Amino acid sequence: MIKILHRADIDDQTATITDSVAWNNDNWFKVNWENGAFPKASISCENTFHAFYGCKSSVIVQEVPVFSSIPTYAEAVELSIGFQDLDSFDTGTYILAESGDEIHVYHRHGWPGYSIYTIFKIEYKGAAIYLRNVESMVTLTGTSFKLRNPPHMVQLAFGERRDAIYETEAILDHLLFHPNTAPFLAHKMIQKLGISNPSPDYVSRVATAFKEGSINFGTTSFGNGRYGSMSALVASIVLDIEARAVVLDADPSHGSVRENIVKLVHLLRALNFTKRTNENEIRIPTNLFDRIGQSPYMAKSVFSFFRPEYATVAMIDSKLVAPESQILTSPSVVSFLNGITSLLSFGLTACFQGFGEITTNDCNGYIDDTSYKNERSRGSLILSFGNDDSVVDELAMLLTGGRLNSSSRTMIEANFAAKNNPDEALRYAAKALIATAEFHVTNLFHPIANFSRPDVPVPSLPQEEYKAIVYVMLRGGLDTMNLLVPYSGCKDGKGE
Amino acid sequence: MLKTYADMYEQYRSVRGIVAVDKEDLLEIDASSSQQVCRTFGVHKSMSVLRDLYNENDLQFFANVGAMPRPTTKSRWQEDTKASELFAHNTQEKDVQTLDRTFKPLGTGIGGRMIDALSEKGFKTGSVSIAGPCFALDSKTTKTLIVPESGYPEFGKSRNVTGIPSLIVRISSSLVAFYLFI
Repeated sequence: MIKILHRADIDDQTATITDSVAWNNDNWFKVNWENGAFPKASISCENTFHAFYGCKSSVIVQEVPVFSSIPTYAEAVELSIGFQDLDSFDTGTYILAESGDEIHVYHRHGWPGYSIYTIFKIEYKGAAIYLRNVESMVTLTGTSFKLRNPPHMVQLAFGERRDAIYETEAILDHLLFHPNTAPFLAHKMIQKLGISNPSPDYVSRVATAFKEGSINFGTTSFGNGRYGSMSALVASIVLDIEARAVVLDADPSHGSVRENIVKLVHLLRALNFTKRTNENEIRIPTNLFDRIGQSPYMAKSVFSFFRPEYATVAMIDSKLVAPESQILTSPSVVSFLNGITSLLSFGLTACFQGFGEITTNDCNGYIDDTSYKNERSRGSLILSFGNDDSVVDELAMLLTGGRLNSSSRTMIEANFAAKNNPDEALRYAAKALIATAEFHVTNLFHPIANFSRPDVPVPSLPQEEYKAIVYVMLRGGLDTMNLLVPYSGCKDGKGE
Repeated sequence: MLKTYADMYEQYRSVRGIVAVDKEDLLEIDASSSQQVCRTFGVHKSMSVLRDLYNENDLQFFANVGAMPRPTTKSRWQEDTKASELFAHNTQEKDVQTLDRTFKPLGTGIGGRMIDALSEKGFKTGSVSIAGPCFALDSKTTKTLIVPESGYPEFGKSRNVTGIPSLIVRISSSLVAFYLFI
């Protein structure tokens, strides 16, 4: 790091020096000293003037060529000074001198050989770029010390908005083209699209599609062929063999737990939600987030509603993750089932913890499963099915993708058949289906024979005394240095 | 050359500058029976509950605790703190709740490990969260009971779910798998 310490010796008395490069500010510049060597007062400055605050020397600034023969691609890409498209010059101004692996060298007319006017053309981040064979070196007069004048996009003295925009673009490009970006995005997007624990090969295939910008499945091609194609990324995720192989449904670690909000939208779409004619939109209550852990535009942080690396206690040793489980707490499960059963019975109202806004104060009017026809709701699920056993099949196809296990299916069918009222029977079957495991996860479920959920006794208050640790996490906003402050009688402070 | 201060509170003032808390805004607590460098410390006057709990021997401060794998220096901190991602607030929140110096991506929380250790000794333990799932309570033996601030919702209170709770119990074998994930 260097800093300007003294006034510039400028003959022109009318010249002004802008604040950012004046001697009396605190701006430090990072520079690369050639071979890491720089003058030090402690070793008598080596031929520079030894001033009371350090070493002093005049400097020579020179533009010099970087390469004197054809560099490799990796070497050339390190050059910092760009140049305009050579096609914008008259023919013959720049002459192609030689070409190497992914690199072309042009010399300027009248400047044969490698000079500061030599231009390299390479492919970089999907586009042709031109780089000048130049660096600006600062030599300390009378010494062997040299430093490279640091290249920068925005001029230190006269910053321009245009350059700031270029620099912002360059940073965004740097992030987009960073080698970690493609695999990171691939992994997170696969998780979002339903597979919590993708194999490394799967992530690699998706990252490659993102980088190459296209992917072919059969005769169909996706993506525009450019780095960063989201359509290639998404196609490569949903059409990959790992997403489509039916046999993987039987793997308990495959697929994902489904998001509450996705399940709600799924239900509204699959079961034909129809809003009342005088309603413009589907309205949901503002406290949906507090009830099911999700609500549109209500993510608590940039990391979404749940953490991509979340694992339940039972999974800690398996190294598997189940991000969506983070919001699948028992209160949210109960609230979700309450909301859905209310929706099925009464339409979109607030009655009995329904997901609608309050439309009436009189929930007692809602008595049975024909109440969904009530005009006081915002809209209803309009089910139009037959009333034979195929109804359960069809509902199971719509709600569980046909993955419903035979044991649950048999039970639901039996109860369906026992209902006399067709409306009631239909809505009963739908409520039972949303209570099955298959509605909440994406893979198969195999009931274990003769194994039932153990009875959990209702806990009673302990009779004996107990100790509790109360853990309060102050999320940000607490300045720990001001929580506990040294006050008096401090031995290292030599006080009192 | 470092300045020397006659008193550590003055040093604190100097380091903290304009965000330092004035002495008159601090509640003094006695730490003379501890091994700490100061005989008394101050807590902010709006945190009188901390002062009171401390004076009643119901609160303990742990000073100089942080999610650092080892002491480090200005020149070595990048290498020394590699595993903890110091500048990402999500990882820092996790690190401070797990206080696991191996910084494993998955692991148990500081409270969860206390529970595990106590269970091993035969104590009856449990954890309750009123703020959703939290890293601090992640344990290998005990599932956190999550209670909403507004109280626990009850399933099947209305007439519209007649028969559903009993059906859920009967298809409970399928719910065993489901509950493993929650």
